[in-house]
Amino acid sequence: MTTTFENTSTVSAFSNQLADGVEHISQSLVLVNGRQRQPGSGIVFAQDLVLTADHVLEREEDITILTYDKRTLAAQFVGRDLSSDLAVLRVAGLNLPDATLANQPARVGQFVLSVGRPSEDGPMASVGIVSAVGGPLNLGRGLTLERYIRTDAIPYPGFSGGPLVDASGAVLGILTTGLVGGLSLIVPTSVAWRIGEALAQHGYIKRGFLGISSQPVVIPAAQRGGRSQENGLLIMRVEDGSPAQKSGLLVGDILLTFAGKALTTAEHLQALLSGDLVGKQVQAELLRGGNVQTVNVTVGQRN
Amino acid sequence: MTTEIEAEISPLPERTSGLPDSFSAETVAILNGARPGVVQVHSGKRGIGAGVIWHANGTIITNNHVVANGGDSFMVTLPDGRDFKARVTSRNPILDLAALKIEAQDLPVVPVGDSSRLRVGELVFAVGHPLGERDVVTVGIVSGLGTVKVSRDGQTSQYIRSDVRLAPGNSGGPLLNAQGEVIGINAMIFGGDLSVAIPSHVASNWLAGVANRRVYLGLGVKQVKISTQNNGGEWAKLGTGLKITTIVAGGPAAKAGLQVDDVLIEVAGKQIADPKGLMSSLAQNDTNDTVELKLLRGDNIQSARLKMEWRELGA
Repeated sequence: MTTTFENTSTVSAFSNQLADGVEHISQSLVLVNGRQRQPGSGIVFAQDLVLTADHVLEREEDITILTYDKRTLAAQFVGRDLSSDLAVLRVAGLNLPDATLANQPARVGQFVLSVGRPSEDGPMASVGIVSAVGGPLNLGRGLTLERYIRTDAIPYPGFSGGPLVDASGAVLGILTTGLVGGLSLIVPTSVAWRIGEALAQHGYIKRGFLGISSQPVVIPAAQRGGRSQENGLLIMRVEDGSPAQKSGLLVGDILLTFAGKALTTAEHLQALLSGDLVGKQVQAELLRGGNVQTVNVTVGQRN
Repeated sequence: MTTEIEAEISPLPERTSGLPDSFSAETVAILNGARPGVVQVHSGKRGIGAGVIWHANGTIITNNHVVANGGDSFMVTLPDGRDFKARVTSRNPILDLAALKIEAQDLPVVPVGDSSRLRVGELVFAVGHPLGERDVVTVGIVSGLGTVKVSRDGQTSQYIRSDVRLAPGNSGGPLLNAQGEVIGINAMIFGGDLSVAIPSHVASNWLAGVANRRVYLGLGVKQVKISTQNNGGEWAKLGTGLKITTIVAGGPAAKAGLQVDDVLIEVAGKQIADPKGLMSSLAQNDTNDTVELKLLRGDNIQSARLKMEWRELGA
């Protein structure tokens, strides 16, 4: 790293820190060649494994990556996850350092860099702050993004699959414009790395499945039984043969909690139905006929 | 049974660095140091671009496209309110650079930084007059460094991309580094998202090159009144032209087929009224080897192509 200390002012020091941050992440940042037009970016997250945005891969074969030290290597498609638009590539002989992870989650107002490798000209970067942290976000088609980060740093063409980093070059998340109508969203590392590791291991993401349709409703004050929770999920439909039906859930029940967590929105339930719960029995509390009941549900797997 | 509500707001972290106000005070000081050297270049009332005072003796660098139309004379307004007439002394459409000269001394210059050592991520500030609004400052970082093909014959030029917010009127103004030194001349804006600047070392090298050479034509001229009796008076409105008095054998003018007594009326599409105008319009175009001439020979208007030659000065 070529940190310079010609000038000890804070502005110069900050400027150098940003440039050092870009230099640091640049070694783990690759160009991903998997579609006709503009290449995307990717980040080394484990030995010979690259995390990228799924939508920059228009094919599963003939994918190549370009490293900071100008090596072009063949990449093998490992798997994808539609709920985060992430995909994993395996690159034999990649032998690059893993990206450094930020040791705390993104904070609103924090200075950040959006970094990508859209061309052979070297890394590109833009600066901004963390504008918002939110989630879960309903993506439609039964998909939910657990958590996301927004920034005002410009997402240049080819930045999808590249990281959002803090001023030291440590990764806060992976940027994609492929989830919501071209909007740039950042999948936080807490979500992205877990998905990356699961994809590397299984090639796909297990998703929990109950088999209900629901909508949030206000729980009548008289039926709250001393709880502070004001909303629950009214079950509108129960699929035949689904885990929900097998556990005795009925249309008209109001779900209050699931696996010990209060439920107020359908996205919330989606986020809770992560892969870890597949095949496991969890408790759900519900309001039926004015009484709170507890049922055991064995979470199924969505195909 | 307790109801768990996920915390949406993370706890306030411990403060890790100095006072935020010292940061802002420094950026203000950096910009105050540079702003006296950032001028407005305009023709008449309308502001058309910015420029950077490069030498205290009145040399100003701007973009060629800022001074592409409107002839050789422009007005330059200094931040202290003084107006000067400016002459275009050199221009290079391929690099999109132009040098202007104003008759003034002891001007505040913007110190020139070393753009060859720029790194992606460095803080940068732009100063200019976007959409005519005077002295507007924006901040960002160096987004990328690269080369771009600038001509059909494959000539390339280096450029700096940045995420500073620019608008028309920023053109020709400086991109400053965290030390307040000019490291680029803001030149292009693509879709509002991507700003391109010409590295200051490209501008410095170009300026050093053009200062040391002059175009050589191998002819002598004098200003004459154009006769109105021929050509139905079509050329009378020009008033004056340049009559060729001498031709150096084997020189560029001789090779172009020019003859003594030809009257030059147009060079590179521009009307020429006096000898100074001839030299400046040729010197301004240091990328084109050949230049189109229009001349009056007897009663006829003729065209000629002159291949320019350059002479180093004091080499």
